[in-house]
Amino acid sequence: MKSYLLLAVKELKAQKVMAALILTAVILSSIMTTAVGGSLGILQTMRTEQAASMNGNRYATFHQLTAEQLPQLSNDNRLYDVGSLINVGYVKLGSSSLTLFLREYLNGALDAYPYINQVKEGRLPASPLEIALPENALQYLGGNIRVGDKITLQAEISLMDGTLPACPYSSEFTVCGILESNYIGYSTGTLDAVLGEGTASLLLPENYLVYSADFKVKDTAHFQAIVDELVSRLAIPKSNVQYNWILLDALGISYEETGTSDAGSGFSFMTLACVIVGALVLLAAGLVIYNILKIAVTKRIKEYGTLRAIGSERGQIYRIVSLQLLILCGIGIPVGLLTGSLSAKGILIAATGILNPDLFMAGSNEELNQTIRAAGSHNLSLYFLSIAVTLIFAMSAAFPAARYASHVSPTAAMSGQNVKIKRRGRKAKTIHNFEAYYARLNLKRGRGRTVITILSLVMSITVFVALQSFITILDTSSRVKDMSPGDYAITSENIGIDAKSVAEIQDNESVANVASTKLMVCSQDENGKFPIEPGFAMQSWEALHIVGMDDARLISYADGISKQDTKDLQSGTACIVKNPIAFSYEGQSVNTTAFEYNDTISVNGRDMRVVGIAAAPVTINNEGFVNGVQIIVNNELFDILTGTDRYSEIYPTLNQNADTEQFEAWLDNWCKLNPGSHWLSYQQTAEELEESFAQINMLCWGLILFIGFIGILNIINTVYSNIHTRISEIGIQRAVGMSARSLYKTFLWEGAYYGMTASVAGGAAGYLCTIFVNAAATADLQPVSVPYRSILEASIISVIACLLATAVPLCSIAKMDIVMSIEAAD
Amino acid sequence: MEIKVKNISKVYGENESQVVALKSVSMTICEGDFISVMGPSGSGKSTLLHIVSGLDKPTSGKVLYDDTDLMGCSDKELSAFRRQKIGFIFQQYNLLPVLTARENIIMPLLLDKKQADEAYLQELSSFLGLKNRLTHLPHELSGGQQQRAAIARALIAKPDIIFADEPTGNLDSKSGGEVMKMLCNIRKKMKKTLVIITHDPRIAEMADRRFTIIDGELAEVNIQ
Repeated sequence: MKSYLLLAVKELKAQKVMAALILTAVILSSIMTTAVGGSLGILQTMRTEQAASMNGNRYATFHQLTAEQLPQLSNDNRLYDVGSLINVGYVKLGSSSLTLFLREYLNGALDAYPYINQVKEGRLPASPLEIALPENALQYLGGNIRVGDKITLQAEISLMDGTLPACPYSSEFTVCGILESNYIGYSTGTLDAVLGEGTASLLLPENYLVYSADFKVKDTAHFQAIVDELVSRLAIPKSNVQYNWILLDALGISYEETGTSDAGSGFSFMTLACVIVGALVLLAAGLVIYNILKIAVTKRIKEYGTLRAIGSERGQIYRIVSLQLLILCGIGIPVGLLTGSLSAKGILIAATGILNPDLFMAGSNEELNQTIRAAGSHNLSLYFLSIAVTLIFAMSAAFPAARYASHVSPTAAMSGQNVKIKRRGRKAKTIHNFEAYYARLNLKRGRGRTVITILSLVMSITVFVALQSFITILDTSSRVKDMSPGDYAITSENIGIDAKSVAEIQDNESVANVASTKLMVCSQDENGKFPIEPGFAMQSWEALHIVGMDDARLISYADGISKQDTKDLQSGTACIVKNPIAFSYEGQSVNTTAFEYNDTISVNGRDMRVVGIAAAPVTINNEGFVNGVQIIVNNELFDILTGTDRYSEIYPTLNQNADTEQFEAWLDNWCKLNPGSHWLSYQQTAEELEESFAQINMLCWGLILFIGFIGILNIINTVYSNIHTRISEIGIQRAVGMSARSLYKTFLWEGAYYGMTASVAGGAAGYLCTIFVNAAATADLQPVSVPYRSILEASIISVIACLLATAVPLCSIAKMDIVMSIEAAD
Repeated sequence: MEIKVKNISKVYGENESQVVALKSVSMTICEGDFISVMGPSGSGKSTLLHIVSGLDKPTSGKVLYDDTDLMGCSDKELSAFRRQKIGFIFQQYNLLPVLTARENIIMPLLLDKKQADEAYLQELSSFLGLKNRLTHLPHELSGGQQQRAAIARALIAKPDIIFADEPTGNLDSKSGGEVMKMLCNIRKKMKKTLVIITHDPRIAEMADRRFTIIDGELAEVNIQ
């Protein structure tokens, strides 16, 4: 033996049960912290990669720069990835609200925009007047455009600050490439076309030829200071500085307008969820380590006293106790690290499965899962952080035991003083059940240990009840599929579906019924005029939506309104209104048009009474709502108001025994005959939802079992320690005639009391958590019905688990020799 | 080496439950002394030993070790004092159960970040009859062997003084006799100071200076 520290190894070898229990707790907690750390790393990588691909891999852009100002940025060694582009103009795309931006990217600046530069066909422009168009812009530019075609665009150019009037021009371009459809721009109503270098100087008057420069800064901690200095030196107006807030927020870079966005809220939500789950498991494992180590030290306190007597310093005792835990961490953490890192992606896929993929800037769950699988998880710093957190928690849990050992008085420890027990309530009373009575007294003698054991059980029960409520809410949300108007949605955003084609679907033998939506979205022209004349004033930015629904759907949508109102709605004399979404700009609330119940409104000269205010807008193809007034009427009135009878979306529901494959094949053919239409299966979506629900259910049960297992470890350890610290007492009890059966019953009563006390406290805590879970789901904090079933289940399981956990160490009692046990008193 | 004990008192508890273990005790321990302290159970002899050896602190009074007041020492200094200057032998041996006899013996050195002098260890273990028992765990040794291992542990750091708290209290008369014989031989051979607590008059009579303690009051017996 080279060092006194090796005593720690020998102590561990001598206390195998303690070592095994602590090792299990360390492995479990490090699995969870690593999985959490790994998930956070994946989320962070995904967020950064997606932010960069969505809104450009740039931190900020300066607009309206002159050619002379550009070198000052590209030569600045504080900046990198400096790229410039010229806005060559924009083209309004037909009757849609989309605008096609024409941009010339200089010196590889396009590399910062991965969502734009994906070439589907042909190549990127290399010469002046060459153009690469996004695929989804082609339909608005006159049908069959192919690579090599020449197209003429009626464009306009204006300056951001409006110092010059908009300048219209017309030019012929050669289509050199078709770019992948870019749906990101849909949310802002823009699409991007790429022009060849030199185009701008050919087409634009000199005073319109201004540059935009994208850049990143090396020293992100001083990002804002560098930007401010550049703005000041180059005399750039603040309105010409554009921050890429999506990427800056993702990278956590501080900038002037921080906090104005809620993009990527899914990442924040998942991060918070990961941290809470990790903290919960760490706390449970910490309690186990604290309890086990404290008991182990108490059992060996005489040895520590001896060490103090022969000259050991307090620090040395600290080191011996701490080293025991460090050794176990050294074994357990790598095991946990490996398991946790391997399972991080699976856990993350399961956990994100139930959430809207939009929250993670992904188009679908499948896309999100692929992104997670592809995301780099080699963020070593987060793994190190996970290890550090596990170690800190473990060492903090070990600290009280180490302190207790090192502060022991050498004389007190060696004298083998009798245990002093404080006891109130010593009045003589009739004892009906000695085992239960003695068990209650025993629980009180080691209050700290009892509290810790019960606390870890309380946590298990709380997690069980809260997660059961969570699962129930998810189950409810998975049933949302029943609320979809049909098994399929067939959409035609632009052309619409005529009544004859709808009738074909209705006549299909597989179809039971068809629901429908008609939608027209009108924007104001430059004179503030709508194609359909509303008989009321609207704000200049507001759009007017007219929605038509079939009667059955309209009634279900208008659920909760009076019979008379429903009748008026069906007769075409009333409507439901969705008011514009209120918002504020630069801290000022913007005025919006607002209607109330019983207002009378007029559209195209037709008066309607408002019988309901809709909470959510009607949209098709799960698209966003262009802010404005939406008027929802029946199909016949829609035709009258808009002068068109075409359907935007229809929802067939199939007969119960319909052959879906056959119907879908028929539907594919139908779509070919109806250009611009496409279909989506809600059945498939429902299956995906069910799969996601099953995954999240499994995850929740995993967590329940995880924390429950830690709680059980604590009980086993406590009972095991109770037996071994009371060996002499047990010997005395046996000597005075207590049967082994009676002794078992005493310990089993202790276990039952642990379970019962924890059930009451855990049930109450679980109920509180249920209230919060519901509040999170409904955004309304209010009492909810008590989850009796979950509480009862948890209580029964915990009492049974306590009894079983107690029964395991009890086996050793039967083998005890009475005389040896009594002698152990010394 | 000289230990001066000046008017030390030790009181446990408060008010009605107050127990006075030592009442203004004074004594001087000089180099080479062999001192016995005898008294009935509960007389305060172990308390006196604990205080003189720096394991415990008196309620009042001073313990000077070569003019250094032990009561003024920090925990670190006291620990070093116990490691280097004194050896302690307990009635219940107090060997660490997970360590072998050898490891138990060298533990004070290891705590001092030193390695054992093998020659000295062999000499000690031969002298104490432990040479073939060094790899045994405490529970594999007899009571006498355990106490001899404890004696070796007390001597391994070559301390100035050995305190023994009823070292034969847990042994049968034969083993107890052997242990005492060895302690006396060690004292002579190694020129150590030995302070022994006992309630056995035969052991007390082996000492050069004898003290009795009754109800916390110490008195030196005039051997003449």
